[in-house]
Amino acid sequence: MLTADMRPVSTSRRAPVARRFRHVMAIGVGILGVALLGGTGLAFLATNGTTSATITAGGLGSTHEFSAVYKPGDTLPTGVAWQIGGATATQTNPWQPILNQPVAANNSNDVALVDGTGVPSGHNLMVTLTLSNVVGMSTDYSYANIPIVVEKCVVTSGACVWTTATDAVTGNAIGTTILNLTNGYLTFLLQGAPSTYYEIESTGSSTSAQGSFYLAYTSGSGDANLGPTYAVAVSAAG
Amino acid sequence: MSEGCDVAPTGPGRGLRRARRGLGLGLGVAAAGLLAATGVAFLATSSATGSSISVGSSLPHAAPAQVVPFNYTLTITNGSAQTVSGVELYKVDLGNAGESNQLMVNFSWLDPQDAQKVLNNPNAWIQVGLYDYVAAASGGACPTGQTLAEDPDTGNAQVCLTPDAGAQASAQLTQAHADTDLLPSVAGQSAFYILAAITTPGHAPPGQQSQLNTLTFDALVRAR
Repeated sequence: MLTADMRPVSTSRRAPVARRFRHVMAIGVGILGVALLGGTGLAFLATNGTTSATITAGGLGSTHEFSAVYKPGDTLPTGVAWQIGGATATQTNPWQPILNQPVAANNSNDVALVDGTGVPSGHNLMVTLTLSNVVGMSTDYSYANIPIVVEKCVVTSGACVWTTATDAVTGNAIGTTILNLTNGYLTFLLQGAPSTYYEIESTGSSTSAQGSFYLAYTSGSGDANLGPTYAVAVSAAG
Repeated sequence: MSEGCDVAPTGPGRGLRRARRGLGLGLGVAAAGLLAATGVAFLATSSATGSSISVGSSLPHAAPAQVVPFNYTLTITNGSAQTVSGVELYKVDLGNAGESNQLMVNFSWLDPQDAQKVLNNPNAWIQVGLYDYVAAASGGACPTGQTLAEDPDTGNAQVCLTPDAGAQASAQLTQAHADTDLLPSVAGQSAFYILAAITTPGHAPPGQQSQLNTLTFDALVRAR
C-alpha cells in the first residue's frame, strides 16, 4: 500500500504541475513568438507598398534630343532665321587672303545655330566650336585669328528677336572671342529656355579691322585650306 | 514495486527539463525572431553620406584666371628708330597660385595689318612677355632690372615687376607672326602681367602718315 500509495501520490501530484508548467511555457513562448513574428511581419509589411510614377520624355520634338545644331543649308525651326542671311545663311569669304600679307576679316558669316528650347528650365548648354580643318589651314597660314560672336534669338510673334548672348554663369555679355590655329576650339556656356536659340557667327567688317590672317603658302585658288571649316558640339552643363 | 520508486523521482524532473528545453527553444526562436526583426529593421533603415568638395580657385565662379585689360597710351616719334617698352597690356589674376606655372596664355595681335598706319612702319615688331610681381614701387621707381607698372586691382598703385625668364614666357610678334602661346614658368604666383615692348626700326617710309592710333590684342588663358 505504501508503495502503491507513494507512487501515485508522488506522480499524480507533480505531473499536473509539470504539465501545467509546460503548457504555460508553451503558451507563453507561443504568444511571444507570435508577437515577435507578428511585430516583425507588421513592421516588414509596413515598409512595402506600391505606387506609380509617370515619366514623360523631354527634349526636342519626337526625337527628344537634348539639343540640336543647325548648319547652313539645314531647314530651321518655324520662326527661326539666320541673323545675317535671313532665310538662307550667309557664307561669303570671311577674308580675302593675299600671299605674304596680313589681312583682316571683312565679312561676317552665319556658322551654326544651336537649339536651346529642349533644355530643362534652369539648366545650361555647353557649346564647343572647333576649327575642324586646323591642320590644313596651318599649312597655308602663318596665323589665322578668327573673331567669333554668339547671338541669342528668342522667337517672339513668329520671328527672332536678337540680343547678344550672355554667359550662363556670370551673366556677362559674351564679347568677341578669337578662334585661331593655336587654341583650336572655343567653349560657351549658354542658358537653355523656351523659344531660345543661339547663333554662332564669324564676324568681320569692311570699315574696322577685325581678326588677322597671314597667308604664307597656297597651292592655288582652289586650295581647300584657305577657308575655315567648323564643328559644333553641344552637351548639358549645370 | 521498485518501479514506483524509480519512477517517482524521474516524473517531475523530466517534465521540468522538457519545460526548460521548451523554454530554451522558445527563447532561441524568440532571439532568432528578434535578430531577424533587427536585421530587417536594419536593412530597412536608409542613411546618407557624402564627401565635401572645396573649390580650388579664389576667383568668382571658380575661374582659373581673370584677365584684366589695360588701356595704355604710348607716344611714337616719327623719323627715328625707337623702342617703347613697359607697355602694359593685361594683368592676369590667378585663382590658385599653385597653378601659376601650369597655365598658358594664347596671345594674339589682332590688327598687324595696321602696323604701318599706326606705327608708321610695317616692319615694326612687338616683344610681348610675362612679368611677375616683386614689390610695391618706392618713390615711383624700381631697382635696376625691374620694370615699373601699375596694378589695376589696387587703384593703379605702382608696382615693380621682373620678367619671367622661362624659355617660352616671351615672344616676338610681327606682321607675319601675330599670335603665340606664352607659358609662365614661375610657381606660386597669384598673378602675372603681360607687358610689351614695341620697336619701330629705322625711319618711317617716305610719304607715310599715321592714319590710325589703335592696336588691338587678345589674351586667352587656359590650363596646359
